[in-house]
Amino acid sequence: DGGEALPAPQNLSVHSANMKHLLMWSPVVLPRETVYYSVEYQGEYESLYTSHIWIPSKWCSPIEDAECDVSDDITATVPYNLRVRAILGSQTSAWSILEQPFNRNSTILTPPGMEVSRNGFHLVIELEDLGPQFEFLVVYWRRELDTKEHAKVLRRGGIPVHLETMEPGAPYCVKAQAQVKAIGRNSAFSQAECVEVQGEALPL
Amino acid sequence: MKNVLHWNPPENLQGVEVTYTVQYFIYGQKRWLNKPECKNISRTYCDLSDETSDYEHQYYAKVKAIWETNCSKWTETGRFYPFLETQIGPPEIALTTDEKSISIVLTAPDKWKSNPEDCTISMRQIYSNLKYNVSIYNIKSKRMWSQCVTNHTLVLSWLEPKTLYCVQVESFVPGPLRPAQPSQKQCISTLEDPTSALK
Amino acid sequence: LQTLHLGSCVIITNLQKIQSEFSEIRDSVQANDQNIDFRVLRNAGSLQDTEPSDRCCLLRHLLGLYLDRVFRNYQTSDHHTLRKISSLANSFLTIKKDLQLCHTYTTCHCGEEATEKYRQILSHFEQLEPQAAAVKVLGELDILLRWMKETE
Repeated sequence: DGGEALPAPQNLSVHSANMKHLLMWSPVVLPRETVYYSVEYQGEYESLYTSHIWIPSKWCSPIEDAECDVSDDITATVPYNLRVRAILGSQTSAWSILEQPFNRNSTILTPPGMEVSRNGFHLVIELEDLGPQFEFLVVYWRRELDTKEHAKVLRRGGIPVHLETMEPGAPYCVKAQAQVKAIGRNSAFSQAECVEVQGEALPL
Repeated sequence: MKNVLHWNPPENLQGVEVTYTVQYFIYGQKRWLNKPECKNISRTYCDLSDETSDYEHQYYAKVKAIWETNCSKWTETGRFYPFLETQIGPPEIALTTDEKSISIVLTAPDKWKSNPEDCTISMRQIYSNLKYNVSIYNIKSKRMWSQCVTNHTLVLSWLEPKTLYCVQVESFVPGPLRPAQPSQKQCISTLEDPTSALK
Repeated sequence: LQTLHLGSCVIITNLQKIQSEFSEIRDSVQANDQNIDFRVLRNAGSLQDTEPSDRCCLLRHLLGLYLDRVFRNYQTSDHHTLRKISSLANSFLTIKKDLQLCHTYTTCHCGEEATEKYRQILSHFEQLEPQAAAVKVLGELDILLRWMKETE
């Protein structure tokens, strides 16, 4: 499987946040040489049913950097084996395999970025676009004595969405949480942001 | 569900009189079937809506060219699945207004039918998860926003009096992408606010 | 996400994502099917025409057929197709695990209807040579997804 002279990459690890999964390793450094890498993966199906089969990563077969975005490869909520080897011309190193299989349900979920604005009497929110796997739970309320919270689920970010028609006299506050149903998990809520309608604001 | 087969004429036969013959096939059945209305035709399309009206089945179609004493090989389509691939037309839009709001009533498009006497089937009966993407344009402020709605009525409130708003709507079914077909833009002006006339 | 009601077994899955993954390879897979006068998944065997209590068992068998004898036997050198099949297979594996849970809690009863329907599907499947059968039944994945969707 390729010459042993070329050292295999070491210290494989995956950093995953908001469903973006980055496989990283220590680069193989050879003076005056450009070393490339090739990444392959195996889902639980392959390891159970066709264990000899490894699938070339979509973006990293080959790649020059010592890291690979495997988000488009990890498409099911099952453990994935990942491996990488070095390539120099016709030489290839041995494969280095990630010590523990990676499951996307371990990704770190951060509170979503959001922009709360007033559009005439209308309370409008625009959430960070985190990709198709994300939905958002938006909670909003009128800040006064008997605070009653309202909630809405938004299917995607990146576009302004109308939440509520506001009445003058008290601020309206909003907070949001990211939800990934594919892995059955949510982020923490963001900090609340408030806006207020003055007396005679222009309607939309 | 109006399913029309289209093709391009052969490249190297400009100026030659060419006719075409079409056949279709129901996946899983045994024989290619003729379409009499599309035998020896000179146009380059053939309406197979009747033959493919059962949208649970999957179909193939093929066409060959005939000129002078020659005829070409058959050219065949891929497997066509009307339920997944048909384009969904825009809904009908009815707008009513007062000084500060516009009411929008949407009516889902109807399934194609060959005979006007046949009973009408709404596309909503076929696609229970049919949704609408409603885009609203404030012509004066040049602002636009959109809303995704499931039911067929929508009230836009707290609008500007005496202002022209335009509405455009697209039907869609969550799932594989289908070519979108937005409605015509329909515009309506909010009425004058009687209280503002008194100031 | 969609909720599938299979008798007293209820599972949540992302049929839309599976459908869009399959749509990316559908034309090329179906183009490899030389036996278009033959259909394995026939309407008679569909999930929605099956007693609710038998649906879980029939679906478990069907997913097993795809995992054991379709994804495994579909040969391709095209990396894109390979990746999509891996994605489909791992998604099916996730659904099968959920059905397995139902089976463990005896809410996945195999009645006569499910057993007979699966036997018919298997006999259709085995009329073809393994590789051709894998191509055909993979090409019929949108029929199976439609059946599953109907149990929503």
